[in-house]
Amino acid sequence: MKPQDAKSLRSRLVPGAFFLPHLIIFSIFFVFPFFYGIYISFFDWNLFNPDLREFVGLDNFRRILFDSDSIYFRYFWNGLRNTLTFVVLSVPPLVIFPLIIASLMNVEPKGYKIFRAIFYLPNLFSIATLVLIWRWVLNTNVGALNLTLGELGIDNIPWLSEQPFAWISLVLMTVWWTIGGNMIIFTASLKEVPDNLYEAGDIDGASIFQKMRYITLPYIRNQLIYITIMTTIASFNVFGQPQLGTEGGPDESTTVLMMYIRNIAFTGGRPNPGVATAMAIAMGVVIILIGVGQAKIIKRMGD
Amino acid sequence: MTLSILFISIFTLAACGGNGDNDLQEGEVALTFWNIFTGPDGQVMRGMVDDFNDEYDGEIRVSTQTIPETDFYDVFNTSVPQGEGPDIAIMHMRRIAQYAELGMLNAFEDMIDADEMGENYLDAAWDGGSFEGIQYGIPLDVHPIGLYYNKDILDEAGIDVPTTYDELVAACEELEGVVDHCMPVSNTWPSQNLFISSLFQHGGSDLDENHYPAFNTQEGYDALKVFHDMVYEDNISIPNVTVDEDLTLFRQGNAAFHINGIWMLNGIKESGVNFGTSSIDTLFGDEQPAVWADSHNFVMPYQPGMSEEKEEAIMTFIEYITANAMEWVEGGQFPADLSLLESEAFENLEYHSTFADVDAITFTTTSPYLEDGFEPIFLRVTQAMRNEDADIQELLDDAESEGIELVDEATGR
Repeated sequence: MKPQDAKSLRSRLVPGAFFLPHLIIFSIFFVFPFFYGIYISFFDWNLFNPDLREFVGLDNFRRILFDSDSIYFRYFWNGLRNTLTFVVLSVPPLVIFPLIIASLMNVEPKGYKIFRAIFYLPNLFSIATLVLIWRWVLNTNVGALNLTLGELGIDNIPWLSEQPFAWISLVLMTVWWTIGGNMIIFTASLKEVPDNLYEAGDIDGASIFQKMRYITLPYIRNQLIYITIMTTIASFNVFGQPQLGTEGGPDESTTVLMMYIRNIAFTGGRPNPGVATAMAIAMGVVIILIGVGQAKIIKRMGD
Repeated sequence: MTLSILFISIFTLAACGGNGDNDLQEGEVALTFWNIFTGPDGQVMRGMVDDFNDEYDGEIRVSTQTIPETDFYDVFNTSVPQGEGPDIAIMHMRRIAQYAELGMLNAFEDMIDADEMGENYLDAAWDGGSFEGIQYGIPLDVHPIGLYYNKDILDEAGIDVPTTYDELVAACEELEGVVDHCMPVSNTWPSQNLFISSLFQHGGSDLDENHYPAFNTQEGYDALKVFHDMVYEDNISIPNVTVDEDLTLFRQGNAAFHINGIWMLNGIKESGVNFGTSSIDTLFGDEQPAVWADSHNFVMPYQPGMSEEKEEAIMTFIEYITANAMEWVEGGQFPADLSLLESEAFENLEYHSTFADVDAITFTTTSPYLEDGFEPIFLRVTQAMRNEDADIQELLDDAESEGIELVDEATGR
């Protein structure tokens, strides 16, 4: 072997070795389950005795998508409708509020570092902690919020047990929880916008909204696409807030698809992983379609 | 150099997955035990297991793993079929038939004389652990629900503890002005257990012999209507009480009555409220005294080829724990073991003896399809309590048709 070859082999192996740990973990926890999930979705899968599984082709998909007599059809469409409701309600505030806060931070007012830390803090809570905190605030009869409103002469509001309050509460706690993550990305990207563009805007007499629309947004377009799509995906995967906060109620109106998927896949004595993975794949397809659509719309908006 | 460091670190990481059996003494039988006790009861259970390990030092070593109840059945479902289950686990009695039918439990059949051993336990609790004549569970305890009442408030109003629905309505009328809340009832957990008590008290039943829903009857109608009326007709509970709010209001001294499990005893003691307990066996209906209860059972998750030595060790452990369960009982349980249930020590417990009439304790039907056929009614209990205009008959019809659908799905009928 020529020394040169050895060197080039080495120069190719070393970078590879650095991402090997990630690759291994990524394969074990993502690639393998991903394809295994697709495989399972073609079977009437018996969790208790996988040898008894039965190949059913696309029947699981037919049942959840088209067979209106099937209980799984009802679960899937109710779950998807609830998940989409959450996505529609939660993504705009989850993008807009962090952007507003990041813009304010960008001015670097006095003490902004403290506020940045405060806004980011809830991000560090686990989902169980988050929901417990909010339950104590939002409880109908013993919650802090209703007790405060009661002092002002307002009747108890069933924040977690009636609509539309249940959705408002879930969105509220999600915004409070995740506002910091998107804020950090926006803060970083806003720093990249050159000051002279704003100065030019000032000279032309642009209002603050015009500056936002014609200078800031086009300039941070890529980050905006990234944040919008990632937030949408995160919102599709919502699980902890309704599971612990509203327990899917009232009347299963906040039982999101992930809750059905988990219940059908593992819980109780009737696990049906075939149907559950079919639901998960169908949801994945919906997410991809929406993500691609969002990227296209935002790109066009910038042009 | 860089490469070798990387590989070393990867392999060291991979080698870290060793097991903890190293400290096992020679000849000691190792048993693994899964339980669902995460609260103060978990500490008591760990203490009991430690005592056992001390007493059987050198013979049997039990290692405990605690899994939160909300995850327990998921973990069970995913690990037991892979042969990763424990030797012993705690399971709720109402789930045993289902898991026995799925082949996920080993039977105690060859290890015990079921008839003889059964005589030591409360009949209903023992029978609930058997499915198709084979014993799969051995009861650790029985946990009924009961009525907690605030003594100070009742004294102030000068009223007795109600034992029937009419008395409850009258008591709540009397208490108006004395206390903010009479008996707030959560519209989710644990109201389903109140409903089951009501159903049995009205003479209704949960499932028929074909595992189909049997609650859509006049008795079922009356049983469910009580929950609507408690909120919207009889001023017993305010609407929109979410889970544990009823408990909180009672603990704050803002409610006269509260129905919850015996497991909540310590939580209520801690609140400092001066309280007493009373059986609810005729509180909702007068056809048949009944109190809902469930039971924590020892089960053996499926595993092939269990050694005789291990089987003996398992029985030694179970019998030791059930017979030494007094501390467990004090923490908020009824014993299933008759020697404890009929003991003076139990009679002398301040709150237990009045909490539930043992003869009225009623378990749900032993069926592998209880979850499928019966549990759809739980959502309707919530709906009956949430909607002033709820159509009780329609709720029963909905629950029944969903139950039939789920049973058909589960049985492949």
